[in-house]
Amino acid sequence: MAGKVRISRLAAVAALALAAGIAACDAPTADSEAPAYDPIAPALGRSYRWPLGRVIGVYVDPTGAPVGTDLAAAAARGAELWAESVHYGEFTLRLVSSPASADVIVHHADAPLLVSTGTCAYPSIGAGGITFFCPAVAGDTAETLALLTGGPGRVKMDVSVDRARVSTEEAFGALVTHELGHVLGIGAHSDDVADLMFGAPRVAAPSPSDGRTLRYVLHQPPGYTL
Amino acid sequence: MAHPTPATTVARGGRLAGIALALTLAAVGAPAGAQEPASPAPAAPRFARPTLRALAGIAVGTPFVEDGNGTTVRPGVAPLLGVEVASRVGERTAVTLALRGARPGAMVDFDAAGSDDVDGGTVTTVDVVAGVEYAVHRRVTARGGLGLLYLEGPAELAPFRFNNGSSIHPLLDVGADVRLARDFPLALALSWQGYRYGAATAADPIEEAGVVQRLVVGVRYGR
Repeated sequence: MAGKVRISRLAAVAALALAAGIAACDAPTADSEAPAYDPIAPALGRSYRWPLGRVIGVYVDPTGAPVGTDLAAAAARGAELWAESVHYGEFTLRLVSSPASADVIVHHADAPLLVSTGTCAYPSIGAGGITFFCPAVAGDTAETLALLTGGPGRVKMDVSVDRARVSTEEAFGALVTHELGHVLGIGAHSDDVADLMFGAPRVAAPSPSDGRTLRYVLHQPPGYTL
Repeated sequence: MAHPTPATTVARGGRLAGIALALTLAAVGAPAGAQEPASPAPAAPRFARPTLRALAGIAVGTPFVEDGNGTTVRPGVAPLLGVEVASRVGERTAVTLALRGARPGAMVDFDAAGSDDVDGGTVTTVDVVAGVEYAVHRRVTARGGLGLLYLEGPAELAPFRFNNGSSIHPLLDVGADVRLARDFPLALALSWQGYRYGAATAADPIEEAGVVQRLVVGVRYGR
């Protein structure tokens, strides 16, 4: 009888110790991050991003491609590089075969636009790359840019890249990846030449600072949801 | 006087060897429960002939990671299957070796307006636990053990991309079984498992390691 009592007490103590141990166990944690540089475009004054977890369809228009330039390959490589910068699959950039199923259209600077510019004017700045979207007049979203060929579409962004502005294919790849950084939500440029989001990119891949800045943008309430 | 069964002989050579033999005997199909003596044995062998058990249940777990940016990656509820070999070593005590597997989904909760939970892919878990169980009551057995967990998940998710530096993690397992019928070897099986995760590599964004816990509820068949 005494043995049974001892065992019951032992079991009770063990159960209590286990319960206390379990309660004291913290889950693995990661700290929130601050951006390495200000990601908000001065002209917009607000952040923007796609809904998290979204597959973002990218249509690469081959029209007007200079000889030896593979825009689709550059875009695919850029998508891979940015995907490595996030931790939880916040987005998937996927190349699609039709503008009708695209959220973003990437084209050479010489190619005609495939979409309207909505109620906004297309920027006429002289730059190697332009990432364009049109904030809705009212609300916190972006206009859907109508396909000029007609039919339904869901394009929210247009990206123009100019191969003539850079000297090498590597630099062109960096330019495309840089513009994809704007597509994903980094609206401004870094002041650090070591960052891909430096105004005139000198590196081919997002730096740790670019990654930190993108992760920050993705986990802030967006000014505009694309 | 002890009966020098093969198990007894090997047990004297070492417990690990005894367990290994127990596994071998189980593999050739020793009938569950048939090995228990019908009447009090003159002296119980240190390792009785093993019995084979099967387990089916569900597993629920705590997060793999909680990020300060609001993101949580947690396992979904998943079916779990397992087998176990048990060998009595005393009137109330047995040693066990269990193998269990489950494939939960990795659910990503961004905790952000306009963003739904995302199915991040499938996680594979296989655990092997060596344990000891003790009959605390006619129908209730408590047990505890140590083992190894194999954990693999989608590389797109940070906790699995870095995977704590390894896919194998030490595992603690405690639990209890409650027999559901007197004449039928069916029991309700409860297990709590815990393993440490995170912060094993410099690149791992999980800066503070923690304990991932899993609760397994199921039924066990076998004596």
